[in-house]
Amino acid sequence: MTRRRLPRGLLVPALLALTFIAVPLLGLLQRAPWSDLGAQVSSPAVGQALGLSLRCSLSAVGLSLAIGVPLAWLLARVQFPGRSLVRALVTLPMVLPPVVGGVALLYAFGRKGLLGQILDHWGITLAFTTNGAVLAETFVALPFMVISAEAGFRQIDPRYEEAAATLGAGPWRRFTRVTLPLVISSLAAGAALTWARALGEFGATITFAGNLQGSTQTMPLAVYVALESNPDVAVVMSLILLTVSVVILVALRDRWLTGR
Amino acid sequence: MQKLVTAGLVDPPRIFARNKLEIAVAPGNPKGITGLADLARPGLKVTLEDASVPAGRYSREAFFKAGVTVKPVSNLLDVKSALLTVTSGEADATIVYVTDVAAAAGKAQGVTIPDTQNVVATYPIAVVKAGKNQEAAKAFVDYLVSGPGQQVLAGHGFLAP
Repeated sequence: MTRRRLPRGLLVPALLALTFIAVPLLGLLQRAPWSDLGAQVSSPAVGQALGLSLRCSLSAVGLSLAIGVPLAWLLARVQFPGRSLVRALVTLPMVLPPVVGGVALLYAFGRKGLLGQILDHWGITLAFTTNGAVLAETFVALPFMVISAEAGFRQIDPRYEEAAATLGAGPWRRFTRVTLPLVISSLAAGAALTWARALGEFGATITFAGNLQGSTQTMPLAVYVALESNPDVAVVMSLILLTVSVVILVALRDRWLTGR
Repeated sequence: MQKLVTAGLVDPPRIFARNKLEIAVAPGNPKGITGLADLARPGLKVTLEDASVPAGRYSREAFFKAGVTVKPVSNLLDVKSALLTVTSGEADATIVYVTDVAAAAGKAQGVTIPDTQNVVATYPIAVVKAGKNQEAAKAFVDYLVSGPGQQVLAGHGFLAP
């Protein structure tokens, strides 16, 4: 429920929060080399990094939806032993420093890794590949999807589904016609968070997937590399990434994220 | 360092050590790498440092001198990360400094790059003019460049200036 009148007590902290986020962004905008923006923006490395970032992050969202939503449903609806442990486990990637996450992924899926050894035997390579970048981004972003989706599922009154069941709807029909429409805004919000986290991922990506222009050098990596030799280019690339993200999130608008 | 000298912020720099490149491989050299040319072998996973860092530039210079083209699977941002790809078994070879292979203490083995292909990195040190303790700074520079500091550096594999 949105109100029209501003409660005075909340105004100051809210403005502080907004300022905290806005001032660094203004700093970036102020330092951008506006005069040769055109030359920097049209370099092939930038285009490749941006395209790769978008493709990988969207794949990460897709993967997170595919495996995260079922997990969230189980956590929300099924009382199984060790449920709170599983829930805690799901939040682990958020606590782990991203580079450590990347190292852990290597130990799991790298050439000499736990599962990686088996995959290597079958000729499947994940480290130093684009798929590896998707995996790294999914690893860090999946918790956001699971947590958002679980909260969404918990909020639904189970009586709606029960009513549908008594009227003869099978489980799949109940899920698609009753549950899903009720939870769609939580899923959308989760997807937006997941996408944002995946897009900005650096540490796990560079450690597990590597840094190769065109196949694994996503925008955050390209920005970091540019920072070493040409901070101006780094600023421009960051602004491009920001602009693309803002445009997409604004296009989604409140309508999708809050369901009204 | 050049930026500092041009800005007049430091005393004239002195070289206190030099370093050379070396190929780092897994202990026992399972892939039988004997030189830079071997790194171009198809199917071999080679990592390098990114061209934006000195080690990356020098490695590419060495490849140019050797007339070899190598496509790395990843461009790491520093020598330690590059070495980690080999010590963890994820990559078959990388190029780092001789001091890095020495510091790996058995987790990696070095393959020498001949001087005709190798690149020498020089490390300068200079006293900052605005520093509060000029005497101590100058003493430290002397210690490093011509005093016992040289033995410490040599012990870690650095070349004399």
